[in-house]
Amino acid sequence: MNQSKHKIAIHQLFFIMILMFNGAYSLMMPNILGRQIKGADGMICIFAAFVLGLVVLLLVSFIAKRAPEEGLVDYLPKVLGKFLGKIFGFGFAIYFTYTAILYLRCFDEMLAAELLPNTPRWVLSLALLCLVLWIINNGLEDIARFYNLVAPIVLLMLVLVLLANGDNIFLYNALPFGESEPIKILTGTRSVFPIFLVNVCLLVVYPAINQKDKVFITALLATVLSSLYLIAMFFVVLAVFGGEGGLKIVWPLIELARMIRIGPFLERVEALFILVWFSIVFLNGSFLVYCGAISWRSLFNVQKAKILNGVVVAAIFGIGLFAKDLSGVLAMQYVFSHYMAFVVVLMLLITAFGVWRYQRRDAHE
Amino acid sequence: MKMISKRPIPLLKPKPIQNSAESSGPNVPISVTLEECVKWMSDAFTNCSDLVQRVFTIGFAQQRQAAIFYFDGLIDKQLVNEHVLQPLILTSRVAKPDDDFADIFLWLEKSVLSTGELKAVATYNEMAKGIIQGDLVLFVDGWDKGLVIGAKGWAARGVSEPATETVLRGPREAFNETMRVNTALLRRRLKTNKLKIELRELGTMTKTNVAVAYLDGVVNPELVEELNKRLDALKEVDSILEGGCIEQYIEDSPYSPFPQIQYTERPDKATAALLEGRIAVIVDGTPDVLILPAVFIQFLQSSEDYYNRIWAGTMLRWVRYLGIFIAITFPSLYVAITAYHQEMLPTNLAMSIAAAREGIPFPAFVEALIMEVAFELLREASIRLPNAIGNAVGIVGALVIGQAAVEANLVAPQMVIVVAITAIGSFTVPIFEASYPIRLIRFPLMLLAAVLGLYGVMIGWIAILIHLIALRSFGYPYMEPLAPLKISGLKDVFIRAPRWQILTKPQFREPSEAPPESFWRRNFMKLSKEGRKKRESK
Repeated sequence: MNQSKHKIAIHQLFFIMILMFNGAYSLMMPNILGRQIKGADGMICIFAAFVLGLVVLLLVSFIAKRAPEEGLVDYLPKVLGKFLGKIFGFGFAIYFTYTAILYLRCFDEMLAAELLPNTPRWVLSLALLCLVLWIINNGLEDIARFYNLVAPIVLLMLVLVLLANGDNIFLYNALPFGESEPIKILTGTRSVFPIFLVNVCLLVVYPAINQKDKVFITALLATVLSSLYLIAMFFVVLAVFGGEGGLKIVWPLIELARMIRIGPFLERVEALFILVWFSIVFLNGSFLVYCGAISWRSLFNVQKAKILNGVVVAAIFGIGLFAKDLSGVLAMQYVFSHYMAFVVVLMLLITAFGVWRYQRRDAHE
Repeated sequence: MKMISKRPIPLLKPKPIQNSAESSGPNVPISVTLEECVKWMSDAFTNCSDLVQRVFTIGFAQQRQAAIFYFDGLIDKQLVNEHVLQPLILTSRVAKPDDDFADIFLWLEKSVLSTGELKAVATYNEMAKGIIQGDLVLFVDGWDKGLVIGAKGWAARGVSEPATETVLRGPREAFNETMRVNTALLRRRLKTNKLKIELRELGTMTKTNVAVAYLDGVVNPELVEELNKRLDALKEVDSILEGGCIEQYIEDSPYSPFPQIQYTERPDKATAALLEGRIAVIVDGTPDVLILPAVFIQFLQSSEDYYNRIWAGTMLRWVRYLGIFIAITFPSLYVAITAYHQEMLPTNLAMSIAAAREGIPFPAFVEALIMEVAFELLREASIRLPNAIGNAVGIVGALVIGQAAVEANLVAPQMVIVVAITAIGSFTVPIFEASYPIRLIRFPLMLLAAVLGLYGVMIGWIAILIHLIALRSFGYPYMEPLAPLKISGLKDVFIRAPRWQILTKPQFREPSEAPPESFWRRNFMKLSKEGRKKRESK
């Protein structure tokens, strides 16, 4: 009766992608950029990262279209050979799992800093991961429906946070512009680029999407809109707080929310913001853990999905505890943007080449 | 000390029931001699003091012995006297019976008895089934068949006003415990041969009549098939006492606090559900009709919404959404904010709460728990008591819990306000059944708030949503049209759109026929305006 079981609709994919781009990592983005580049030049970095993100999207689309009904890790050994295919599958599984850890730990730190300073990190992490385990056991369909439910509210809130700070914007705060050296622009781009790497997740969920012909255009739309939002957010943070101080704030979006006053009754809007943000983190975390769990399941050919999901979540919890505080999370982020992103892009390129060669050989035969 | 014997107690073997209606099986043919028939019936219904047996003579030229059996209280005595006994005893005497027995019985069946329902059966089992269901059975000496004569008529409640689904505007009829009255109430509203009412019997002991009603061509046939499959699986169940018994057997997730099948006592609501492609299950002896599949949002909609003006209907819905949010979250928000996030409140309010809580020996969570539990006790007590005493309990509760608890410094006055608002919020839910999960989930949410503050409240809410999203009602997503998103369905969720816009293909509808025409604008009114202009120009 339920025709669309285990399938996700194209609009659900749109919500997934757009919230993935604006996940916990992007919350720290102005701070990370601010440590590397001066003033509004960060916007150039975001734009450059967006262009690179489009290249990633093209690669992902090219690979996915060749195996519309197979998951990434199942497909890799066919195009790259058993050994290299397994290695790459392992690499992608690590990427998804590591990204999930980073997203979830970012949020724990934000929560500890802003809302619950005395609660141990592991309690915050465990509570969130229990929910993640529950929903990934229910499957991708339920994750997509949850996105469906909260995405409109979350997106509205993200836009309102920027708009509500319109009165606090001072354009001269955003200066200087265009003074950074090219090498710094490149370094900044490298820091922002991992945000756009989430398109790789498409390779995992591609077989579950209903209208495959609209996947590329949907992901493209989500990428464009998200990069516009990131540029706008960076600009507002800069214009409100100034280059010197503003970009050193760890959670600038939270600070923007703190600036909003809804009359004398509600003085701390940012607490509500954090609560809504929690749903983004929960969803993105769930989606990434799901992608990771699917990859691990295919890699080790595990039949009992729930047990494997439990193991993956337990591993995420355990590894996440290694980052004891914010500095630990920032170190994780450094590894992520400086090494892991590069390796993932390399793997994508090699996979795309393998697919092209496989396709040519097929056509020849 | 008395020693306990270790010897096992021998189990008593149950004695086989001889000749009962159930054990006789379906294929015991009716005897030709009346004596045997009477003996069989007497044996089958031994110790049934309400069984009435009447042996009499029919015919004049050729007299025959006949017997009727029925249960006292289950038949319409006037109908039996006027349309069964009188024709059999008196009318049959004036007619000229034929020599052929078969002709005599045919004549009895076709010409003498003047009741509407009449069925000739060949086995005792069918006779017993008829009598159990409230019919009258007739045996005639020399005939190897019997007649089951429809004469049901027992004391029943009339059609009265709905007790739990009251409306200010709309019909004031409610279903009652008699299934045929309920099917008639539906049939009266849906004057089409597409309304199908399939009857079945459930419960090996209760033999409860269960009717499955749907609109052919509108309902998804797979849904009917699925329901029949689930109902067929209940053949071994011994009793179906109420619709709720069936509900527990056939719903998708029986352990969920949220109902996945709606029940209503309003015929107009059941009719609307049928028109939407849903199925109504009518259970004999139950004054409610089950509606399936059900979605969450349906429990927050009242039939009155559709009768009121558009904006009134929309506003009422939003009042209910707010009410349900408050009923679930308000106590936990109070606990979280007073215990963890006082800085969220304006200074004056924070100080006022702090001053009121000074001297109270409990943390906010315990305070809230005491009040909520007390309120639940009061609510339960007032429901079980007669109306007059119930009101008194309400007054005592208000005085004791409200005033005395505050004066005794057991709870803060703000807490009383929180509980009162929460209670009012829960009363806004138009279907009482849906208020149970709200009352239930409030407590774990308060606990989470006490442990993790606002983060705990959010965790609780996300857990609720995960559960709701995972729920299915007969395979249909429970959170439809919100998740999965169905844009066309939102016009009956966020607003109550005008009728001419709502009449698109409803969510449960897989019509074999074209859905009714819907309009974005009222084109039909434009036509009438043109007609009016023409008339005016003439």
